[in-house]
Amino acid sequence: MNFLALLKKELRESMPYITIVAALLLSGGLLCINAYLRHRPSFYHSIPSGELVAMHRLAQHFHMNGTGILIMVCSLVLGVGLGILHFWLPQLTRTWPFLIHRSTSKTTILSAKLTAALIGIPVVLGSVWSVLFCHACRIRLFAPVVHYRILYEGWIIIGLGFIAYLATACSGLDTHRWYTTRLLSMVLALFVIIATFSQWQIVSAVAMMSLGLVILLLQTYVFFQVKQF
Amino acid sequence: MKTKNLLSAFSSVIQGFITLVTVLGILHLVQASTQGILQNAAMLKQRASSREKQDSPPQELSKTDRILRSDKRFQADGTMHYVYTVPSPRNHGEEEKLIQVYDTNDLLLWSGRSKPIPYTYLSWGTSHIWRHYYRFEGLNQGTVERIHAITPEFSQTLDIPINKDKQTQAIWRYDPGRQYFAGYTTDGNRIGFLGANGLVPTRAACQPLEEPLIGVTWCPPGADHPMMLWMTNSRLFQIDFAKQDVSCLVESPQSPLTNLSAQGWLDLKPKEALYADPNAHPPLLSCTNEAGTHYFVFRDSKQTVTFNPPPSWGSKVSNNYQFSSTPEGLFFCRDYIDFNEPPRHDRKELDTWIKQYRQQDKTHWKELYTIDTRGQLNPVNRVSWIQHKLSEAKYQVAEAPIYYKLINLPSPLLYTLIGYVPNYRDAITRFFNQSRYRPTLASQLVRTIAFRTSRLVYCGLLSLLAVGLVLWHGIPRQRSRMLLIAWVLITALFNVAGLLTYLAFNHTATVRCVNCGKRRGIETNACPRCAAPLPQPVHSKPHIIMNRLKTSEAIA
Repeated sequence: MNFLALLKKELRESMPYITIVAALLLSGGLLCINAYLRHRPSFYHSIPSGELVAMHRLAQHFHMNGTGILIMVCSLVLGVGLGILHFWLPQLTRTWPFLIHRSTSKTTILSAKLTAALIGIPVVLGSVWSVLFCHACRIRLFAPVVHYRILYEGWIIIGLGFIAYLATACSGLDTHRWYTTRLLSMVLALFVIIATFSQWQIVSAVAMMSLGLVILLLQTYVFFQVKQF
Repeated sequence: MKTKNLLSAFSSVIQGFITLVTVLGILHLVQASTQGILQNAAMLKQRASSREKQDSPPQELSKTDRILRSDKRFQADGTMHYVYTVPSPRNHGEEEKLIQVYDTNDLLLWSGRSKPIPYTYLSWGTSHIWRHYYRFEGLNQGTVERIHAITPEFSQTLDIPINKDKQTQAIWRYDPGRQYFAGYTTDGNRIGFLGANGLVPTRAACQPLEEPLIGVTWCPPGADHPMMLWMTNSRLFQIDFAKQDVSCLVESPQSPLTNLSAQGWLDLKPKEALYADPNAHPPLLSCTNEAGTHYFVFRDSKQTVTFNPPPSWGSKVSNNYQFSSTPEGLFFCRDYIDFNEPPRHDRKELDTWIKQYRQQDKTHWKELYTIDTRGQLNPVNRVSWIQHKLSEAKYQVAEAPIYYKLINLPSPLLYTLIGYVPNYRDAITRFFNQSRYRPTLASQLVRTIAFRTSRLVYCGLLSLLAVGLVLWHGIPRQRSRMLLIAWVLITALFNVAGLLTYLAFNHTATVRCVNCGKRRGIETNACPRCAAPLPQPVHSKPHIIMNRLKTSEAIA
């Protein structure tokens, strides 16, 4: 019961930002996809005759570049924004004691915050991305065959937003000075993002992301339990 | 409670690890950028001095030096000529260079400024086809991974189009996980799968092509679809996408294939870099494996000739092979210095070898053979010339300057210690050969460990200094002896990076101990030297209020 009440409170505070970012992603994504459709060239790859063919000439993009960048920006901005809202703002406004000193455990408070972020980033943004992908399939953007790997990649990019959220939370809860170890979680998140983007297999990218997720989740939990509010 | 402590300890370890990695990353970044700046400065200086040399009139060379700098060329009958291009001052066009042709008795046969020399020489097959591709353009597993890499703009696919009348009829899409090509018509209907066993209708029946090691894609003149040479560890395939055909040209199950060369095999336009006249050079493909076996595949006769060089050939320095396919037969050229290869494992033996190599004049040999259809070698001609030893001063110029050693000085002692692991050099060489085109995070890490090493003496001294600093700083602040020992070990292994990580986690203010008078950290209850507790604030009477009360009572 306490958890549900806390979750409602977190969602009430976070939902405006989540809705704005989701609406931006949906409208921006649709604009990107439809803008490509208007200038769509004929489906013909010309190959120079009597020459060596460089590999980049055979590499095929799916004209979702703009949408991909938009997903990344939206998920990272929302992740960092929610992290600031959940863990930095109570510290700056000195309102932690109003939340902590209640008849509920610290774990419940943290769980409510994390669940609100999970609903905001993977669930809401993920659903918007799935809608955009279905739209791209319907208008035959992936001709000649649907390339489902793009859908999974979009989900991975959205997952990185949750990593950014955890990193912001960690650095907000860390009691050290900023020039010693306070920004380390941000550095770790940066490592995870770089490592995920350097993978070519979906499985290894997910594994890399999961590793970062577990480490940051653990750090957040420990910092939240140890911190004196 | 135990779980909480365990999680807390684990979290601290992870934090320490991330700090160490971050500090190491920053350190190597500083090292790399300093080295880059110094190298560029040295290069600019060298360029300025070479420009000065070019501006001065060319000096007359001795016979030996001229031979050394000449191009040694064979004719089809085995005659060899030295073709020497006289260096001209800077800003003179290529066409103005003077070319001199000498025979092996140093008799000047021809001299002129015109480019076509009045002799016909053997031209060699393009060894290392991949060299003619840029790093990001050639076909190999690295390129395949780069194309399929997850990026903010999503991954790409490797699509081979089949065109007809300026219309794409079908595409063959490569699946890097399953290692085959899946064919689709533009309507989205599946054609089939192209794998090691050719065209098959189902995914289950398709055998993987394996990871490409070296490959070439070209489009024959007049055609509108590419062909592919796909060399893996054990096989070489030619894939004709229009005919939906995969043919295995070479199979080497025992030893992995290492090199791919061709002459006239790729049908290209005459002005292309790898073009060879098919009339002068019957199309030929050559593959070499790690054991040294050469496979020659003739396209016209569909014949494969296997040639095993004598085992003693591989033991010589600068041992290189070239081949030429001509209507008269297959010519094979061997180029080497008559000096045994350096020892690989023992550093001391290697130093002795380098000393001997520098102090001796060396004989350079070039041998021409023909190879018959049974793979037998027939000698045609061999020529030698002397390569005199260089002066010590020239070797010193070629050596790395002293500041390179200083740049690597703060590198961790651990990197140097790893170098003492048995068979380390072999393992590193093998790793680099395997990851030639795959700059992964792991390969970058291994590269850093391998190249950012310092000498054990310097590294050890720096480690000792860092450990001394840690002890000086850490003893007054120690919370537990085991923790301090752990930090000392980390600092000893990682030098500067270890010291900075230690300071990031352990720097606290100190106070003077009331018992022993020495400095002690404020984060521990007991003094690490005399175990005295931190001074407690003395409880005194709240005299201000009491005094006021007393005063008011007195007034009353």
